Amino acid sequence: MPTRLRGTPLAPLLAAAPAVIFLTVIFGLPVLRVLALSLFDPGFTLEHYQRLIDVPIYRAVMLNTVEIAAVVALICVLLAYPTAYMLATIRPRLAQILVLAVMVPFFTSALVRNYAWIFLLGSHGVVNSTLLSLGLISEPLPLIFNRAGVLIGMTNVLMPYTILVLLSVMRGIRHDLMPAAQSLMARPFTAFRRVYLPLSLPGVGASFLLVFVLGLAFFITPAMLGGPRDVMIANIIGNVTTALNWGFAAALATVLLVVSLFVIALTQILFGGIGLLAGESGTGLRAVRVRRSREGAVLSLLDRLLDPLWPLGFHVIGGASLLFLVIPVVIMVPLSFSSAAFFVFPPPGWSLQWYVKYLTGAPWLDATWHSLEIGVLTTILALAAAVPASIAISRLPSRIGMTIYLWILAPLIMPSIIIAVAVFYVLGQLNLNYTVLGVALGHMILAMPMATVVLTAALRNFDRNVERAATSLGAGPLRTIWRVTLPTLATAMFTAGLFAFLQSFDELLIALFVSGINAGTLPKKMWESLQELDPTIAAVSTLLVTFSIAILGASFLLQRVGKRRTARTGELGAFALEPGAAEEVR
Amino acid sequence: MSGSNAPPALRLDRVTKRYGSVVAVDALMLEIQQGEFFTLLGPSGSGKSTTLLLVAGFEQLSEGEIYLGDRPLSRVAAHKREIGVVFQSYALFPHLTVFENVAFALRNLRWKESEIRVQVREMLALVKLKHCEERLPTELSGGQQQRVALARSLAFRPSVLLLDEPIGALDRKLREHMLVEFKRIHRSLSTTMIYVTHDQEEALVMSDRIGVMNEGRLVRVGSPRELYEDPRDPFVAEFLGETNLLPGAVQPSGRVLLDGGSEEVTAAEQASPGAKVHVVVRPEKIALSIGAEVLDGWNRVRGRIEEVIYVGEATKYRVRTQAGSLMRVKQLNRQTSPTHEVGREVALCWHASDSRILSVK
Repeated sequence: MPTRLRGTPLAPLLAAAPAVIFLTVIFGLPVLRVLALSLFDPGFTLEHYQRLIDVPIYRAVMLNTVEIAAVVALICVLLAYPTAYMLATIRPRLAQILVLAVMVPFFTSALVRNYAWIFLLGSHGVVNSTLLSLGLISEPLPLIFNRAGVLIGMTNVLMPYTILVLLSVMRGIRHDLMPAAQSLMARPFTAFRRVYLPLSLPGVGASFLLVFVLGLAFFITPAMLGGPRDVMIANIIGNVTTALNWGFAAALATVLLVVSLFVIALTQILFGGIGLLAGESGTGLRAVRVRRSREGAVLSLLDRLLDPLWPLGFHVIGGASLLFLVIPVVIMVPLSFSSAAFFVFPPPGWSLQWYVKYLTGAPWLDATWHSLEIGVLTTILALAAAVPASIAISRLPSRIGMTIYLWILAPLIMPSIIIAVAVFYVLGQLNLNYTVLGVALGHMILAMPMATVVLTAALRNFDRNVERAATSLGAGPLRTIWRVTLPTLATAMFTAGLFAFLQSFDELLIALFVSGINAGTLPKKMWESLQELDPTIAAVSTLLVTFSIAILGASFLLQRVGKRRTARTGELGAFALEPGAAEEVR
Repeated sequence: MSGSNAPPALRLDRVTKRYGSVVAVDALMLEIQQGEFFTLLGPSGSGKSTTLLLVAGFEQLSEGEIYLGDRPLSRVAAHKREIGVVFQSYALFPHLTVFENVAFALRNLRWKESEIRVQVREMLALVKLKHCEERLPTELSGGQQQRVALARSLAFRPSVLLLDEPIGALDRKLREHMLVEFKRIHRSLSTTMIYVTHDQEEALVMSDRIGVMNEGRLVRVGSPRELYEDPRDPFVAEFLGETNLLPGAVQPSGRVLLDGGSEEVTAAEQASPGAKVHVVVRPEKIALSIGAEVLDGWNRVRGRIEEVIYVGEATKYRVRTQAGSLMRVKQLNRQTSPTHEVGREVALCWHASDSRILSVK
């Protein structure tokens, strides 16, 4: 009987159904419903948009948001370009180690890193203490709870994305082009300027816009590291939603979403780089085309000036950037073992008291338990939907498959504050707010796309002839999937599961709205501890970082093993773990 | 080639490259004359490409020196060597039009715009791509891309041009065509060209001289005819074309007694009696005979046909000799040439002057 289903696309459509229906019910419709409230709360009205325009503070917040996101995107690109160039051109072995300085922060939650910045930059923080004790300053510098703090924190969170996008673009640049340019009498810097730079420019544009979009929706960092003048649109949406002013929250969300979609469309039109979100290599980017390249005297002077600094200048910037990424991840470790009763640097002595406090504090343990419960539930649900959906996508006609794939990926480009608000709304309707299941359903919106990306990438490298061979050996379609397809996908499924779990475990925004007290997660508990800042945070952060590294390490090892056995997985970000084999060709 | 008192275009003096404990190129000594078409031939891993990288300046010498004319190159950066390189992968700049690809070096050298235009057009005319100026490399066929790469590396008039397996990626028909083109361009510009390949056929067709490399060493240098007819080294004999290597011992008479049998053969040159040698004879030099007559000056070895392979212009035979070794024979298919069947007893006959003796080291 299944043989008949096999011929029609009905079976794969059924397999994709759970994922599609879930996203439609828990994500798509609620988002639309909430956005509609901006025009219909209570009856049709433009009052909410009117208020946006009329009240100066909201205008200021929107301008702030655009300005902060743009400045952060600019800083990110300026720092990430040299870093990515360094990682793409140094010896592959070394690159493989250095890229960890990007990956570990990438997989560490923004919450943890922002706490680290408070410890680092606060008036009693590491930087100020050090400068004071060196006598370089007489009063602490205001490094935090202002614009500088927001820019530092956001750059730190977003730069890994920029580096990874640029790195994938740069790895698509053939390795023989630079020697070719040099054999044509170009100085090393000139070769870079005339060949490498123009070829990597689409990546610069795409990564700038990507980070700009992500920056627009920032919530945690401005709230933790900014001052009253650094409030961003997502923070306002959060406040207004909490006050249950749905119509106005919806108007703000609509503006944010429209701007985001516009920038994403722009990225796609200009650079064709949406695939970058899914961790594909940069080869799909539109090529630049140079008709006439005139070499003037100014450029000649530039070449002469910069060539002696080349590529050392880039390596210095790259090294400093990697340090900047890693410091907030590692600084928590010494602080967590401090013997002081409050935060001081350097710690006067060592103790385990903060770990003891964490392990004996009921609120912390409860939160941890909720997080684990929710994480496991999210992972199971996400895999249950993502595995059949990915297999379906790989065998449906490409247009239908692609449509389903893009629909499943949609939450990844949706500002998470809007997802959070929509989830809060729909769970309220379903009476699931403040329950473990409710939070898990919310987390699934983000975890399932992540898992689907990993699995789809693995399936793209899957040789369908293996299945055909199984069929020719007498296995029916279901038996083939069970005995051939799924086992070859095992590595990818495990990786997908790890990412789904980590996604849920680190998630703050949705949890903030819907977890309440009964299902309060660890990140939510950390968030609420902002007022009573003590080294327990450092201990919890250290545990979380260790946990992230363990998960990252596990998936990396698994990939290594898996590569020998089965198809590759190409999950978001993890593509950077393998400096291209092409490197050898040089 | 040119007169013996002109300095060589390129001289390699004890050129050595080590990667850790691996010696990739081992004390290479070589002089390449002005205007010469020289081929480095060898299997992959023989060090021929590494040698090219060293000459181009993309790898640093471990020992020795390379001279371009009289100028030592070891301390000269790649972009100052003025040596053209054609890469196996073409390495065309994908963002630049054909015109700009060819003009690339000229712009680095700050030529005047008008001169650039003249030179680029001349180069494109040379490679017969006049009409493609404004296209991007991706809009060209493989063969056209190859021509752009060639025009680009010749545009700044380098005195030496390095070609790294430049036609390896083309299909067979196009390869033959490009070989003719290379020859034509070489004749019209008389640029010194160093060509790296693992394809012995290309090497034989193209070269003034061939240097055969194996395991980092230059085994033998000579004209294609010298190398083919008189390989002097078992590796060269086997690598250049098909061959038969018959082990034997030199008798007091000067004839060679083949191992494992009682048959004796004569070669073109003599070796000292008692020496262990290989007698080399190319398959196409051998005639198959079913008669019993022995011609003066001809060698004759008896055997039995084990395999007959029809390859179009010729028929190849594998013949098991009485001594037990397998010999290859190639006969052109003419109406008059007899064909033989598997299992037939035949005599393999070749003239003494068609075989050489290699001493066994």
